[in-house]
Amino acid sequence: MSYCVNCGVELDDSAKKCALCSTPVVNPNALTKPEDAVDPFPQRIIIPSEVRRRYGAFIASMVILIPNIVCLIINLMFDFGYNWATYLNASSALFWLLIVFPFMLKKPKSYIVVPIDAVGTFLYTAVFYSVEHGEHWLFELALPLILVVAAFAISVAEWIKHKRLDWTILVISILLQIVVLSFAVELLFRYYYVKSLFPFVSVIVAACCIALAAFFLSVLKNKRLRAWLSRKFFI
Amino acid sequence: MSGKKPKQWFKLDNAATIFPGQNTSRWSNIFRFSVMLDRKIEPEMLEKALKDTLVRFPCYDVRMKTGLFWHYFEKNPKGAPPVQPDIVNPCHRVKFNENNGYLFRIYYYENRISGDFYHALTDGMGAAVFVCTLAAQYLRLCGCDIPAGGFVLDINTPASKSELDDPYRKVPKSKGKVSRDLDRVYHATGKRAPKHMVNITRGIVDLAQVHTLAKSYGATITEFIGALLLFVHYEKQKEEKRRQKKVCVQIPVSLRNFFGVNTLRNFSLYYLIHIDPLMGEYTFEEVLNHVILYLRDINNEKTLRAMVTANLKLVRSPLMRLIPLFIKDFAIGLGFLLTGEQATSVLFSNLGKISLPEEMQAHVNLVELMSGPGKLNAARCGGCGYKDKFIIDFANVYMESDIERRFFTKLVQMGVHVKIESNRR
Repeated sequence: MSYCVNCGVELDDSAKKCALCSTPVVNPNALTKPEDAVDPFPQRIIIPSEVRRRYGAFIASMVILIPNIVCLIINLMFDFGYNWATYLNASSALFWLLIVFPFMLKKPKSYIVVPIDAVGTFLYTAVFYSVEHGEHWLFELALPLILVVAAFAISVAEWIKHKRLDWTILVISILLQIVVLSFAVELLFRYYYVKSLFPFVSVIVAACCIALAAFFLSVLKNKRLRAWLSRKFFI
Repeated sequence: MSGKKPKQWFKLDNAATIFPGQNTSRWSNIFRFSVMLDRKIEPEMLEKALKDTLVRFPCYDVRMKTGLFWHYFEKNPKGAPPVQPDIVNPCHRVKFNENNGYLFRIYYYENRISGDFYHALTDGMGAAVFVCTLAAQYLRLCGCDIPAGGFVLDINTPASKSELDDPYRKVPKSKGKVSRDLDRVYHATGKRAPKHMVNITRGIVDLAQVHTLAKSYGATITEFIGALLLFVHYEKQKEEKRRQKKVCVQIPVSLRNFFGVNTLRNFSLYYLIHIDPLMGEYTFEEVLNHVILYLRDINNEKTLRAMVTANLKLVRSPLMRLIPLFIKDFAIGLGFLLTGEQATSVLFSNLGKISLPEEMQAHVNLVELMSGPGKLNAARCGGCGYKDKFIIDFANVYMESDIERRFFTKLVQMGVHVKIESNRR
């Protein structure tokens, strides 16, 4: 019979440390050694099977695939003057890639899923580009835009993954990333259409975001302000 | 005409209707009742005892089926659930097609027989009666002469209608209205235990000591332990130096004594008792006094009748009844996510003193009620008394044990002898 010197509770003969405070059990006069005593709890463990997400994703894929094949066949069998099924097939493929595909991965990671989504989105735009040949918007505008948005998505996902991060730091980081994104998007559009690198809309976005970020930074630094806010606005 | 018998089926009782909607792949509302005998358990004999006992409990010999508007129980043709060696992570989630379709699992370990019960099937009282009757039958097969009595039912008499009916529908209607305080309250947090794992801490305390202690404050054991849990959470929140939220203890109450019903199905409600730290500093005596006054004020047949009527109103509504099941389940799941455990910091379920026939008491060392792990509650607590012991079980989904430590060291400081057993290694 041993007692925890810290908590004052009696411990089970098999205990090597106190279950409440982890203080090691040292009892040279114990009649039963911890190794010889029967553990009150078994060692056997059962981890229940997980929901078969991949199975569900497979079913969803089939549901998407079948009408697409049917439409493709109809489009090929009858002359409609243009390949309307191409749009449907491309849109369905993109939908599958963005929504269904992540469920097929065991542990979807943003740095794996987002680049694949970016490639899929690029191919989707390429389908439209191939049908309607215009200027060189595919490589000069669409591709850089997709890359910028993908980089933004990966960055935000990685920040959100930090569970122990203070929410104010998270909000500040997302606001600053929105500033970068808005500048990048506007410069891409301006360069493509007017060959100018002078930002306008993104400056307004940046001003709003930076003002908000400064406010949240002050919330982070000023404990009294934080306490006042949580007092006033708690739900 | 076909000679095939129509399948026997039961409607879920009023309380049980919400549990399938709350079920997820990670969590089910499940609890455990265990009996520790004076001998090592033989699995083959336990299997036989289980088959003998299950005949007496037709409301547990069922599987969950899905109708268009409601779930229902159908007689399970599989005979009995498998008897399994015990595991270190009890009360893990229920899946309706596992375990031969049964909604309770029977485990054995050394001298212990345990039953994990899905709450849709029954409440703590029903589970205790089943496991005690199972243990009695096991002892009979071992050659002991155990009569029926107390929590042990006679397995040779068939189940009565009153044991199987939905007891909530027998409660007379009330015109009174009760309001429920569903504020978002404080939850102790920490590092989450791995998925499907739960940290169990069993405290075996001296029943006479804890009874005398509670009596010295003019309280019952339920009031005393409930107040202590409330105080421990209140103190922990105060030390965290965070925005002070209300602290709330949930205390389930069995309605059997109030309405003279001997059902084997769910027949309980719960009270939520709050303290608000924004009102000022509390001492333990103040918290206990608050719990005593609140419970004694509200714990009466009239209030309970009003609460049951309010609960039944929803399932009796024609509109509610016509909503397809998948929408109901979705709404219940969402409602539980948004309100469920958000409104309680801790739960304390006290089964009271377990009475067994004298002949059986010589062969039963201990009994315990373990509340299943919560989704948000750091520790959910089950308690029951047997002979000269009171057993308090904590089921904690966090790695930290400070709630349990504060609770038991407070008891030690008050002069109560506490023995601790745990699956924490």
